[in-house]
Amino acid sequence: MSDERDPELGKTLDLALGPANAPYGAKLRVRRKLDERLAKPRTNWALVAVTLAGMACVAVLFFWFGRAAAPTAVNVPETRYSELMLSSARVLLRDDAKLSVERDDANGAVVRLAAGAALFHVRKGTGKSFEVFAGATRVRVVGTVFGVALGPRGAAVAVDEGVVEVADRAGTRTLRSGETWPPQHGISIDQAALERVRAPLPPGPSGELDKERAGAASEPAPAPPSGEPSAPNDVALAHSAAPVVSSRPPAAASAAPESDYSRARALERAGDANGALAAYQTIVEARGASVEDALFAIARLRAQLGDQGAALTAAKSYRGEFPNGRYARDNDVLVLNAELARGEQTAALVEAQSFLARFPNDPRAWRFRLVRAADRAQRGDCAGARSDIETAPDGAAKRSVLERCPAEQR
Amino acid sequence: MGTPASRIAALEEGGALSFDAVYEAEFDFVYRVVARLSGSSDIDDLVQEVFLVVHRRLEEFRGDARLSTWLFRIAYRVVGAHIRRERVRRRARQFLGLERSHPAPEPNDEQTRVRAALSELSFERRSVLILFEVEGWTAREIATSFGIPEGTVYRRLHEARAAFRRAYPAGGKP
Repeated sequence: MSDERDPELGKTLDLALGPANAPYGAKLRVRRKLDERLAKPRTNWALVAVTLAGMACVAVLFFWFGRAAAPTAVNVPETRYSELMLSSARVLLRDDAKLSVERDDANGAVVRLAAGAALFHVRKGTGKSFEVFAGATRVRVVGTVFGVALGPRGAAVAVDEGVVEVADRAGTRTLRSGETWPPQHGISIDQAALERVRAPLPPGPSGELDKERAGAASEPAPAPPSGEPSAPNDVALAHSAAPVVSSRPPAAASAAPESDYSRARALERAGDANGALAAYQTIVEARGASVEDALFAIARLRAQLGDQGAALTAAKSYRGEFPNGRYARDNDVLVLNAELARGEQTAALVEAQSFLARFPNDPRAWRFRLVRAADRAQRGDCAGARSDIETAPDGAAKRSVLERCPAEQR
Repeated sequence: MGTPASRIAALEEGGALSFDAVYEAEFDFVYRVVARLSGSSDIDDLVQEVFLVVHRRLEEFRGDARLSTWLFRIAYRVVGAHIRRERVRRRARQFLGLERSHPAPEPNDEQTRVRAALSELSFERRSVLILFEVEGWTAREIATSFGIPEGTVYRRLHEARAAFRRAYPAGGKP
């Protein structure tokens, strides 16, 4: 038996197996997940086994002695959904759904489905985007009817009407009416729920109606793939049990009609940016109930108006006061964009590195990776740069990196 | 203070081991071992599993073997269990008709063919082959890590090479 190495075999195997070194960020990423798991109490499986065995014995005894009195018919509870109206959409939440509304304003809405399933009817013709995050999947639409279900192994999406863009780790694709993703793991939609969510939407806050659009909706901006591997199970939207509790009320839907914040939002939607800014500023100065929403709105509006310096100041104020606030991650993006717009490359790079160290799997992380990629490309680290832009959508920034680091250069 | 590696080295001669120090010093090694042995896309999860075990059992480490040897054995068991679970899961899905068991399509590139050939080997033989031929471990190092005689390493290596060549005739010298 030869104890000498076979260099050719070694090389063949090495090439086939691919790189084995830990990629940048893996150590921190794994450590973060590890700490989360270690923080949870360990399951005492012996105790669980004994408990289950005991319950099984009780069940056997119950049925053995109680079967004569057991009912012969089982009532099937009605399918129950709860409805949530946002400024540009109707959302039908299945009983086990956990949905949080991260944003609902003049620019659109962002909701996060943490569990269960929901149907969405998004108003068409408003030009506002509507995004649903479910696990590692992001669904982006501009006016349509679709369903999203999140099971133990990931999300499934089904489109009833219109066009949506679905982004996950496997890539980005467009789904049209009748299509589902992933294709081999469809989701079934309860027809009664579908009819309910399809009903015409009430007039929007600015009076806009649900306009029918000829053909497909306009092409949404590309959404990057994100997050962890997943293979969804078949998940049915038809279900029955107790009604749902949303984990967070929508920013606007629960506000009283005459509240300061509602008035500020109404001004913003009407296009009166300066009036809206003044109204938000009043809320902040008065330390009103919606001070967090108002502070972030100021940063956002300032950025939209092109005053990046003021936007940066406002965003940093928000960060200082609400470091873990509802808009914290979106605020980080605001800070990054403002620094880039002001030509503060070093500050933007520091921002990017800080974000990626803390939130490498956040759906927004690709923006920060783009900044880091540009820096790496400039320093000649093409391998790192190309790795960073893998999840970025096509655009000028990505193309710029690719020009510096073409495919054949590693 | 020294680097984490030197601290570990000093601690291996006696004294208490800190999990943080072990993690810092040995993460790259564990990652590489898991990546090579598993050939899976779930490397992060598997590495996490390894360090969970390390965290639970670090107090048991008495320094009677090198720390890297001890870590390798944990990684080997974690990866082995994962591969067995995946195999059972795949068979269950085929049995339930959730996954077709028809032969895989003909691989159309060399790397795919090599990986397919490697998958024909048992986990034990594949591990020895990869550690010896790719990672450059000596037979003695492999023997120590696996806790088996050096002769057994050579035998498994010989069997692995032969099995690999049967599955991938273009590879390597006889």
